[in-house]
Amino acid sequence: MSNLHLTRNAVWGQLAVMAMACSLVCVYSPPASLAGQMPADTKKESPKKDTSDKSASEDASEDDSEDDSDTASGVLAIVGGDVITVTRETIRGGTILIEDGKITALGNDIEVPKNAETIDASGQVITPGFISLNASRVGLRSSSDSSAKYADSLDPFDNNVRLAVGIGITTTCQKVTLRSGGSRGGRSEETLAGSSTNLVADGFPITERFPGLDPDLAQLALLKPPTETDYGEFISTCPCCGLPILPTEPLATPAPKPLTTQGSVVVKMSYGVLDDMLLRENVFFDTNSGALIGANNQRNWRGQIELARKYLTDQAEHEKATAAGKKVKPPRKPVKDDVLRLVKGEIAMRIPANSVSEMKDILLLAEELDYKVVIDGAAESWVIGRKLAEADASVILTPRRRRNAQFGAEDRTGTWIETTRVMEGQGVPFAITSLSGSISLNGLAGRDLTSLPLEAAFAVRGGATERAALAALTIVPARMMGLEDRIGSLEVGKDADILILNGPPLDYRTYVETAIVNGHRVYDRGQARVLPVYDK
Amino acid sequence: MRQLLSDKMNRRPRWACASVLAVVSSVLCQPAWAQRMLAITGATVETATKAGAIEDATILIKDGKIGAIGRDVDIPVAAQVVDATGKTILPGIVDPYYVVTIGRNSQASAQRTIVFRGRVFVIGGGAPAIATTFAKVADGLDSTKVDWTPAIRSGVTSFHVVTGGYAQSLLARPAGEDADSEVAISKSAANVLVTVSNDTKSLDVLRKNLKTTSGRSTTQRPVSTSGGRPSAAAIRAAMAARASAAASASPTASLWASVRDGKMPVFVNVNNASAVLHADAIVDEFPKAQVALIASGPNVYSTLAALEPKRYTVILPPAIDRRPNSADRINMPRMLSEKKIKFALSLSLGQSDFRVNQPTPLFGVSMLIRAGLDRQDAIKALTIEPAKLIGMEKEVGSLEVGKKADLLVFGEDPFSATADIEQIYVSGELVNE
Repeated sequence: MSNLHLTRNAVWGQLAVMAMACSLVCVYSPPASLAGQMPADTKKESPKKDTSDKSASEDASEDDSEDDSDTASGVLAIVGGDVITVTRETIRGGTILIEDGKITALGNDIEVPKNAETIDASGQVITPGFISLNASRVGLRSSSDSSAKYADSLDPFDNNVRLAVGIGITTTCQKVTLRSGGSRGGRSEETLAGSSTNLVADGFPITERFPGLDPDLAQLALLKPPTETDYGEFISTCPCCGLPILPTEPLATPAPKPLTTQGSVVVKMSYGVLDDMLLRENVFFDTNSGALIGANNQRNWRGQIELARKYLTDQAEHEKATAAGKKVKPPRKPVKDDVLRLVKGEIAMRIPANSVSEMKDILLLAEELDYKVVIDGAAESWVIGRKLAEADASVILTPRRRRNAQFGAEDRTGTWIETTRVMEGQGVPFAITSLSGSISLNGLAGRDLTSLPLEAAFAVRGGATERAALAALTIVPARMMGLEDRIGSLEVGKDADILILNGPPLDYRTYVETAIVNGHRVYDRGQARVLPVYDK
Repeated sequence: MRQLLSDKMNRRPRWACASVLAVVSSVLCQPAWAQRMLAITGATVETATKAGAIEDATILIKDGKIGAIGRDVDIPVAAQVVDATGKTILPGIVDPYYVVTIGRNSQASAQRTIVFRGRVFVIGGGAPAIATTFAKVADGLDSTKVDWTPAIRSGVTSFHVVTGGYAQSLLARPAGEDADSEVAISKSAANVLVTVSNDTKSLDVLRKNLKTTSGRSTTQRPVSTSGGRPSAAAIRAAMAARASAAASASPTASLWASVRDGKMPVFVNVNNASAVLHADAIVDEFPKAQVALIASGPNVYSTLAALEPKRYTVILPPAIDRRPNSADRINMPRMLSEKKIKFALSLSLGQSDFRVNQPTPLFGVSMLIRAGLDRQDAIKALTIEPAKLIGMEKEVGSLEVGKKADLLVFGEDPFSATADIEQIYVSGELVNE
């Protein structure tokens, strides 16, 4: 009996706690506000589903009162903002119409259809969405499965997607591990960075265990291929003594082997919307920095290009012959597809290089073998601006990156804040990336992806025009990837990746108020609450 | 208007009843309970039907089934009468997603050690994150190893026994006290289960099987033991298997065919919100397919607006959820109820609240109701909705004449914070008191 009393008392205590909890719940759980917190376009665009309950939108509309106006026509209109188109002149108080994810009209004298959903952007600045070329695993789940498709790995609900789009990035180009493995016998950095169980052999996850030793990530990290240190040199350290191993030419000539490339995926930051999130795969011929250094590597590479060109002419002849009705064996493909695409000029080679000598080598080869080249890093590019322009190369810069000058050669080594001005003056297209491609929430305006617009502001600080700095975040990276017909500027027919900003795009005080990706309104500052919410 | 649900049997004169009983009792092989009649009187009965709650009702149980229910029920002389005045009776709870682990004999679980470039790798050792090979719960389940007691004491009277990965479920019900096992397993009806995430392997299970027309089941593809490419012999074997499968459709092919035609739901467990969109994109091509979506992930709520109400039934734990990356609380069942999306609650999904000596098994549900969930919707989500999902709505899930007499007797309102189950009847037999 006393036992029973005890439990009853306990239960009443529980009840009291619950009553408190319930009052909390009642405050926080009106479904209406929840409906509002969902990205506006997780709803499918079938008219019957657009009848979202009114209370939902009313409760949620903290800064968008017109959200509820039914988009029966499927047209979204942005009116009254100053539209920075990047490729054309800026339109003051312009109107943009969006339909089916594309920009359908743009200008001053545009009639807004009656039942269009309208966003009033008067007093605000409208720019195309920014493009990041060095993002890493944003909205893309890493997979240990060798047959995995990137389209299936997309995660539109990754909170990093919301953070990226909140800072204005609507498109990211992300390097991904190619399944074939690294060139130097080591595994790529990304595989090691994950857990020790995500390595793959025969499609099974592998747990690596050293006999007699615990699996130790720090130890595994020692085995990773040479990476770029802060000084920009490529140094691998000996796993035993920790001393640097300097790159040397091999004594015996190794057999020619194809250049190692990395895959890349272009992912739209359409938070909450899976459709059309994957834009394109393998937009660059991405290779590592050491790939073209040394006579042997260069000889191999020339051989590859030669084979590719021969194959292309053979193939053309074969097509001609078959068109004439002859039965001829089709030529065997001697190189990988990405080499062919490079030779055809469909994609550019993206290669990390920082020192003048490295870059000169790369430019010489590119001119000799006739392909487009994008130099990633390009710390000392200010020294050889004219050469870069002559070779028709473009560069990817991070204005805040620091590389120390060599003693006695300060006038032609190391980084310089005015690199962006020199590039603009010489007519070398430059794109801007942040110091790191990941998203971390440590500190404000750190090294990560969310400092991208700030990085462009440093380009202006170095003497580039604001126009060039904004282009470095938009149309220039789009051209590098061959996606200038889809993204990078505001033009009729292009993807509706649009930012509504409460100030000039490169000002550190500016916030993205609304972001539209593929025509979907995926971010509203007031609702997403991932960045500070206040009015200036 | 009075609620009266009674079948013709009970309108007969009592002597007829008695004579029938006499005949029945003369058949020796009948179990003892089948001969008993039980009348529970005076309780408030939540029927989980359109009739809602009936006050001061009588339930007549006959041969383990409900013989009559309502206010004006003639109680036969032979019936044992239990006075339940002041008590509330709920239908037995149907758990639509009772997870057990089963032994799969997949190759991935076999551990192998290889030496590669001087380093030792241990391959396998534990199944991959999501099993993509087909398994039947019925084959792999050792029901004596599963502790069913907490669920039975919490009022679950029908189990849809499932496992993670790609599998076929089974249905189980608590067995009587005298049985060898705690549950009796019925192997007749069972559904397809798939666990998906946003990766190709798990999505392919759903995608390829739905797309495959009869006779070409991709699940029959041989998995080569050597890894790498299947050998020529394996391919030949596969071709032969396919040819034979074309002649007589394999069991999985027929299962998926009925999923395609909407005769049977497919249970899709999604562990994150994007998996909902990936799965939705796949089933989009099959308008008839019915999908039970197990919302086990934390942020699945954010995709609910994308769901087409007719197609989906969402299975979720009875708990207030938290929005990821925020302190906000959400009442997902209430959202679903207000959006008219069908949903079912699975007591076992909220494992942490599930203990043998659970004093208040419906505490989580009572929280949901206090936070705005409709009471009748909550009752239906525990009983008739899951019963419909697993195709047992004609036998269990509500208190109607002819259904199995699975009753939970509460001393007070079942959704008060202190409500304890006083008696549990399964097929008319008292299993727990």
